[in-house]
Amino acid sequence: MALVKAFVLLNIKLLLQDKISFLWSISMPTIMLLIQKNSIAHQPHILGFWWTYIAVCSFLFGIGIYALRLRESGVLRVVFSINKAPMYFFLGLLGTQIVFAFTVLVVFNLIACLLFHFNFFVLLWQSIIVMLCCLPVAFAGYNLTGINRLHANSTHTLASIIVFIAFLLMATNKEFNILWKLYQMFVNNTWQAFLFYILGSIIIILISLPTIIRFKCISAERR
Amino acid sequence: MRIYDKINQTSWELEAACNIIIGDNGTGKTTLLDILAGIVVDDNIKIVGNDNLVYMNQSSFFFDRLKVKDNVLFFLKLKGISNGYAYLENFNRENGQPVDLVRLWNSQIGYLSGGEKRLVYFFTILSLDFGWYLLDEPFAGTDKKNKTKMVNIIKRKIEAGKRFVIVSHDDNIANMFCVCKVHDLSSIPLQWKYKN
Repeated sequence: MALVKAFVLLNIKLLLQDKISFLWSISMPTIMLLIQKNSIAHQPHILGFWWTYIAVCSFLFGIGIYALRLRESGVLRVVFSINKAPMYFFLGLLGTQIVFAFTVLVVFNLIACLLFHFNFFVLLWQSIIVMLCCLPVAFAGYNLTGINRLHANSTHTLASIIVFIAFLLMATNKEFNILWKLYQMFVNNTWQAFLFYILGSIIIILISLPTIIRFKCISAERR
Repeated sequence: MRIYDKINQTSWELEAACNIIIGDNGTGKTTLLDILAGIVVDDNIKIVGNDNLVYMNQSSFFFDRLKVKDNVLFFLKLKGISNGYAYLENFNRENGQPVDLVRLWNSQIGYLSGGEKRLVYFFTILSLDFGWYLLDEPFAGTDKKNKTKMVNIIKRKIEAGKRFVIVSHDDNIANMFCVCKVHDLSSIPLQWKYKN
């Protein structure tokens, strides 16, 4: 546990150095919120789409892609030489992104409450549930680290394009929109959707475990 | 530490307290250290006695945007050391104050000179208690004064029963240590290949 805490503290310190990513994580959904404000005023549940976007971004970019970045920087050679603890490393990244996503959700929900006079605590509670439901994304995204010769920058760019397009097309294209499909799974209160989510999550986590345990700390692209 | 080459059925032992590896550029010195450290796994190589070691890389791999204290305390916590500053101060005192901890503690790593960064990196790694220390070009880019400080720390560690594998291009490095063995990589009876 102390090791996970050490990783979380270090990652938070690094995140605090990079204020732009925090501002972008807040401003992007807020701008879209303002654009879509007429439709939201009467359907507060649609905010779930924004929460899904925030959680998916945090877990995808802040865990799998960030681990790729750290590996390419070379710093993990030292970290893993002192303590070879790939599971703690993953849990540290996961803990950091839960804190980060929670902070972004608090600020975003505050803005939404100021604009639409919703109950802040109801929004916060629902958004936390959505965030926790998105946890399998963290595991799925970490599998990127198991792919050889994958560049962090290229992966980041590709993922940004996909997520950004999915977010922009939220109002028009719902059929092939990954974010929308994910959001729909949370709002569909049917037992089929629930079962699909539970089974899917278990499979994703089980498939990702070998990647987490066998994480290679050195990049195939850099010595 | 003993290394077995499963293909050629040969082995090689690092039996001295201070083992210096020399060899031309690109001959696999760093790869050898990666394998010894266990961060590169080669199925054809078996290593015995490498379970208590720390590895100092050629580049100073610190988080440049963080302060010295944030980096150092994190690396010490990885080894379960929670009272980091007191621990380092003690290590610094025992070794004749080679590092100006008070001045450097709150400095951002990215603003330190290359030599200072390397000294802090070396100092942090050597402060950790391990049986073996693998050092890849530890003195590259350091001035004479800092080099002497680093050599003295290594000597004290050797006196305390610790063992070293040092990769270096410096031909004179063997003269700095009383008890050391120089291994020329070309004469080591092992053939390994790093599989990506």
